Amino acid sequence: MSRAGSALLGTARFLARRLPGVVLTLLISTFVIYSALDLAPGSPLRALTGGRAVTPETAQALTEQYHLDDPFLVRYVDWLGGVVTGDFGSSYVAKGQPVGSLIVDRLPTTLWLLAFSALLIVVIGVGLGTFAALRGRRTQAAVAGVTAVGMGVPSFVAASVLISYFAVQLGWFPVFGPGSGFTDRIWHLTLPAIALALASLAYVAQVSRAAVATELRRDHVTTAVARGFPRGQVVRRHVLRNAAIPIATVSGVTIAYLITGTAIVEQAFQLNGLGSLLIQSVTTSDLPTVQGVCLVVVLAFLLVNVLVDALYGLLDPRVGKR
Amino acid sequence: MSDRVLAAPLSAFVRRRAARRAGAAGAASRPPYVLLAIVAALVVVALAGPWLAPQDPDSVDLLAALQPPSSAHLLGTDGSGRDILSRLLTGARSSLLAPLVVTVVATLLGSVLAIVGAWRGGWVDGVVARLLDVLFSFPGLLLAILAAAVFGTGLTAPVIALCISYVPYVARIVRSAAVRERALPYVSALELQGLAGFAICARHLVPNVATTIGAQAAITFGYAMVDLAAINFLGLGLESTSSDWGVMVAAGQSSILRGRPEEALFAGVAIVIAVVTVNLLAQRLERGAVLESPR
Repeated sequence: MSRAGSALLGTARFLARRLPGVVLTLLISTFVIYSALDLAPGSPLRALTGGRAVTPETAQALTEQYHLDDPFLVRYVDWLGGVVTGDFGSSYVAKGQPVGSLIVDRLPTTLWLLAFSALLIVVIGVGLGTFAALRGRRTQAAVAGVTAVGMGVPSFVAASVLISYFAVQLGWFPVFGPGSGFTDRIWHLTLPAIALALASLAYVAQVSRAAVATELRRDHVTTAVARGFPRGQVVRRHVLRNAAIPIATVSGVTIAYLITGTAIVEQAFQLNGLGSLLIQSVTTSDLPTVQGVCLVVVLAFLLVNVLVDALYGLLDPRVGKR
Repeated sequence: MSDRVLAAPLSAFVRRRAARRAGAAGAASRPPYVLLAIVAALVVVALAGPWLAPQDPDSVDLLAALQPPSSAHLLGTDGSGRDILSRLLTGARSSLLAPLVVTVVATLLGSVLAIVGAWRGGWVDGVVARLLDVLFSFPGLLLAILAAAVFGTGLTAPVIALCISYVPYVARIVRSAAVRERALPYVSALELQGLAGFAICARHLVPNVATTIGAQAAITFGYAMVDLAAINFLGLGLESTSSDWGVMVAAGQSSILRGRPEEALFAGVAIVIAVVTVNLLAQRLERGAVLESPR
């Protein structure tokens, strides 16, 4: 069998072994999210309407629509069945709009923001770390210092500084809104993407620097250098290929965590994405929407983590053979 | 009697050897005075902030709103003319205490789970590992937001949510350190002498993994601080009149648009200083060790 084929097979075997765990985790997550309705103080009906006063007719209609008279487990299975077919219920607060369509409307902005931030993390974070490790001690120390501070800057603080300097004082970028069309979107999302990516970018840079520096000290690298291979070739074939394994894992997991971070950045820049929908529905006590968005976020989070595992399998041929 | 006499020098010897190895590999063994001084200052401000504040943090003076830093107001005033420095000093308590609670609870829970799992092995370890895997799949901030949605605004629900969701990060790191320690010959020697498992853990194993626990606790504090400040920034935690640092960053947003970023900026700097300090302390504690970031 070809090398690529066996690597794919190994990855597939590796993923198949992970599948039961992922399904179990997803099931438990849905259970936690659904039980929010019953955990909320007062009755599930009160949780659905966000504590607003409703006429007896509306209460009756909601009770029937959500089968509130059924036992908890029956309702949970019902809801789960709906979720699997893409039916997240409807929002009482948003005038009976289906939660699914609310989510779909908001999705593009969040996806653009996430993609932009992920790109910044991979290109600048990994690039900076690798560059520092390949240069001398002084560059390494400088990058280590800058990234140590960068890691401690929360996205909402970064957002405040960026808005104040680049949007208000210099006026280079718009303050709010997601923009439309490709270039306009990029222009509008530049500051939000930097704010979202900053701490993770610093973390990934630090991990990349450490990974490359560790690989550079390995015996096989010394051997390759001693045998007279050109430095560029040694770095590419021996150092970067091995360092890519931890770097890819850490970058992937870090990017997965950005998904929840979008809530903060979208709120700071008043972008109408999934994150701001979540916060909006929390403040208006719109529990069905909160449940829907949480579910999508957890699903995306798990999916990215599985993808990272798959990538890990492709980068490291030893995975899946054991 | 005999086990104590024999055992103490043994584990002390292992620890000394480990310390020597670390000393040989790492550079400066000088204590990080600057970091410790910042921590001490933060503790003092958290305890005595309200008395250190030069002015009443809540006294509104609309005529003195949005002033730049001056001798009357060292860090300027906010949109309602309140003294920013006084608000920062008063707000230190909630900003630092809430993450401390999260850190202590998550560290205790996570360490106990990890050490019990590592010590017993077998199905106990398996159950612990499964439990942690499930918790891993729920990002801490999301659980905190969900908690705020269910139980209404306020800091209690988010703090409890973060306590739970940080447990796996602590447990994973402590578990791997404990498993490594468990495999060392001195543990078998103590077991052979008939010392009870609990005594071995309490007297020898825990002290030997204490640096790992301490470093992970420092990391946890940093992340708890950022996540709780985010909850407050989003308006899901403390009230908007509070002088909590996260709330102040949110309250300062409208002033930024009017060209006066002081409130949000200085509150943000306070958060960054605290977080960077604990992160660097953690790095110093556990040089070269891989620490888990709970995000």
